[in-house]
Amino acid sequence: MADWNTRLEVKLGDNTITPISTFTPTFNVPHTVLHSIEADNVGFVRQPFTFTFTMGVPAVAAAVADLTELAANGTEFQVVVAEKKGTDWAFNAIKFARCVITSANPSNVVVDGVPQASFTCLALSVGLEA
Amino acid sequence: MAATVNPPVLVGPVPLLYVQSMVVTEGYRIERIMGSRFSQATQPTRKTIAIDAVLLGPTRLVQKKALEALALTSRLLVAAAAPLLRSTGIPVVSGLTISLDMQITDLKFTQSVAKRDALDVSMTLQQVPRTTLTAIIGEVADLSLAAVTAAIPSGPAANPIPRSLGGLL
Repeated sequence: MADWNTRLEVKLGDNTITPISTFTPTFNVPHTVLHSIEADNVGFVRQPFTFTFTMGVPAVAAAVADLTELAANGTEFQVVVAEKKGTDWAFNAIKFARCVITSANPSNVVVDGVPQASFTCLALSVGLEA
Repeated sequence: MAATVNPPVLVGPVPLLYVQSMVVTEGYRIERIMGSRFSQATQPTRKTIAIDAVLLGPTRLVQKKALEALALTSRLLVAAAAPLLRSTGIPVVSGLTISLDMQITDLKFTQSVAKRDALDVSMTLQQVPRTTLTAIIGEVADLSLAAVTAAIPSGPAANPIPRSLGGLL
């Protein structure tokens, strides 16, 4: 049983986003069940796949300004999650290419602690390295 | 009937396994007699069957070609099939109806972004009776289908998950 002693990093292009509090990738792979007039559950139809991820970044990171600018301009970028130190992670890297931001909260101001920024992004292609 | 058995709807030799809906339209034409309170039953209306189905998997284009051949979408096909069509049409065999002497009048294929590796097909068949004999055979087959269906339980069970242990509660 591996002991989790690994540090991951999220890279926006060539720059590491640090600090980063959450990174949640979602692979949406819809399939619809087909029925026929004679029987239930006789097959399924694949529907288009979509890849999204959300990032929660404390608004002290320099990347927040970059990401907000990318959101405002609608620019494409790429994001890589990789092992920085250690080998406990199931993957070596997850690459999201041709990403755009679909929703951005650049900075919600809170009473205590650092303002948080959150970004919801979609990616046109995903690569997994295991 | 077990939930895993999926009898196809046969349109001629083409088995349609994923039929989404099937509509049979039939009746008898009634005409009012002018200047009178009587009506006259003149003739049966043309029986039509509308089928909406999904063609799925790697053989979907083979099935599409087979349906196109049945629908005689080219003049060449009409010439090749004419001797056969003189005596018989396309039989439609399904759990709803057995109808002989059908012809495909409309055939529509849709490839859409909502369904990958699948084609939606929508077709309309119309009855073109050839001889009294085929009409009688068709009616007898349809009638026997109705009688047999009434005798056996059909359609999937309310809970389609099969249970292997235990008897009836």
